[in-house]
Amino acid sequence: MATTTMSDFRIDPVSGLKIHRTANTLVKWNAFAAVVFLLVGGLFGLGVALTRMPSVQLLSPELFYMALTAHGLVNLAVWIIFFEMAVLYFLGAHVLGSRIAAPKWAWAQFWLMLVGAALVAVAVLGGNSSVMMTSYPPLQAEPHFYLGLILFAVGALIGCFVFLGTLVVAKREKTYQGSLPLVVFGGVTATVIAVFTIVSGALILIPTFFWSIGLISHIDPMMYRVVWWGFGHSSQQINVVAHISIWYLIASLVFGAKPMSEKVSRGAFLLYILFLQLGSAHHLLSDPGLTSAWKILNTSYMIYLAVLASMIHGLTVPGSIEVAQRRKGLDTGLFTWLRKAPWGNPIFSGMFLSLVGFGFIGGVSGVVMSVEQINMVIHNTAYLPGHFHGTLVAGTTMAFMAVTYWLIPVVFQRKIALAGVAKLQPYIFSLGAWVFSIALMGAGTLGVQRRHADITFAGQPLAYEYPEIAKGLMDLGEIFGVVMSVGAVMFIVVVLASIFAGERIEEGSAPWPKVEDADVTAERTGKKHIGAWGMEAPGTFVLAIILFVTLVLYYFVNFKYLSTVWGMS
Amino acid sequence: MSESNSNGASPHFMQTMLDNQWLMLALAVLVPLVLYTIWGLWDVINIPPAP
Repeated sequence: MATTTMSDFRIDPVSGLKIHRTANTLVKWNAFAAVVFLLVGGLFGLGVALTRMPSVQLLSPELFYMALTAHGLVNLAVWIIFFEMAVLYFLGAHVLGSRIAAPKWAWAQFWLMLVGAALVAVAVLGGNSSVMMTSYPPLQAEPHFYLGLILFAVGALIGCFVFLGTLVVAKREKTYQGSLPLVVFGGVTATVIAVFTIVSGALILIPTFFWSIGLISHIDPMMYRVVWWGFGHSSQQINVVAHISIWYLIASLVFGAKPMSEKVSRGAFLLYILFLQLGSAHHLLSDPGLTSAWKILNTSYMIYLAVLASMIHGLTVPGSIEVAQRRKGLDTGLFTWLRKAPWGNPIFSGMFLSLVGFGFIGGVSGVVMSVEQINMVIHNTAYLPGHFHGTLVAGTTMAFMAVTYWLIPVVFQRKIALAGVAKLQPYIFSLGAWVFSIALMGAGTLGVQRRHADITFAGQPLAYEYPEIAKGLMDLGEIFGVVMSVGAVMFIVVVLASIFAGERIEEGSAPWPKVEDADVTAERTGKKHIGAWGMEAPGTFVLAIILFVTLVLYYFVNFKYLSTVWGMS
Repeated sequence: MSESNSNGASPHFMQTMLDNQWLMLALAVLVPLVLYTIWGLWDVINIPPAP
């Protein structure tokens, strides 16, 4: 058993948390690596956007496929999983006031992921591994491409077990009482989903590596696709859980809000544990080798239980903010609590934009495209990148950026530099991500293929002329892709300026004022009844109804569209 | 942010279950492994060969 002394910890003046120094160093390095990779992947993304724009077509096809492979892997996997490692160590050690379990293994996680990412980068930039993120056989990459992915995944798996081990340490050393805090339980949910994800990755990438060095003669493409999507899609579900945990954290930090019902929120996380990964099947809805029973059970029954969980979180997070605001006196009208929220604070604005973007764009489109019939209209079109930029960029990345504005003072002990840029950044980034996603979904609905350097197929035997509006939507989307890149650069500039040049927060400095818990305020002011129409959070109820109506309308619009593209005579 | 049992009563069965991260891990791996991976591979294996 490791021995720790009080000098191994510091009391953070910003958050009041008892912070284990070794854990903090690990959080710093993982978060820093994440931001550097966000920059790298974003640059490749910019190249992709400027090539997919029919009126620009910046890169040659060879460079486009290389850039698309790099963008997908770096932004969908490397940036996000490095950041998740930082979040897990923060939740396990910092939030629980515990030492981190097995710090040497945690460093092994960091270096394995870094070496793995570097190997993949060398393979992709070498030009012979432009197989895109999915690397479907019979496309074959260099052996070190697969080896890099395997090392990266092993590193992430180690990180998951270090987090779970830290929970054991915290419980044994009684650093918390009762059940795990809800945000840490969210971390547990992300972690256990990550284990299934990484096991799926190992099951398919190890034989594919052997195939690339000639030890195995054949990889069945259909089997590859089934197992790979257990890895590829579930990895994005880890992000969903992580960013929802961050929503709860930020609601608590900024408003002193408490979940409307911890039991319901925990139940929603349990639904994720049981059913969220089954959404992987929606990538295979057009594959002929799988039975309809498998497709429909996974995507049209089980996944709806995970969707129910998302709707619960989407209701309880803003609901808890509304209740907190009303208890603090903003108890008039339907939306006074929202109008008077601190929109100039990027921690809040980023979190709320993430919530709205994820719900209305990524969430609604994800549910509708999981319907087998509708999926036939948009499968493998630009709708897909439109959808997942709605979830992973407008949702996850925006939430990660928002919480970073809080983590910099707590973890890096620096004040935020360039506060004016930080204030504006969530709006620029979200505007870019939202319009990009919606425009690409529109283009995809009109049939524009995903992944092609030239959507017109000019000079090809199967050239196809899309309607002008489709090209216009692609141009519009990619212009806002550039806006999104500007938002990402603003974030990176603020982070680097804060870390390297921000005003230092000394360890012994006076504690920062804490946001008062909403129920403490209510008790002090004697406010007992809040809300209207017999509801504590009527504004959130109205917002939830708007989301529900949007979902229903969008669902029927797509079925109507399906009936027009699939004429019967 | 957690609901502790300040009155000293033993926690509800459901809460005890949710507090067991190893059980959560087992559920998160087994459910998709059976419903998605094994069933999906079974479907692929049973595609009849072309005549």
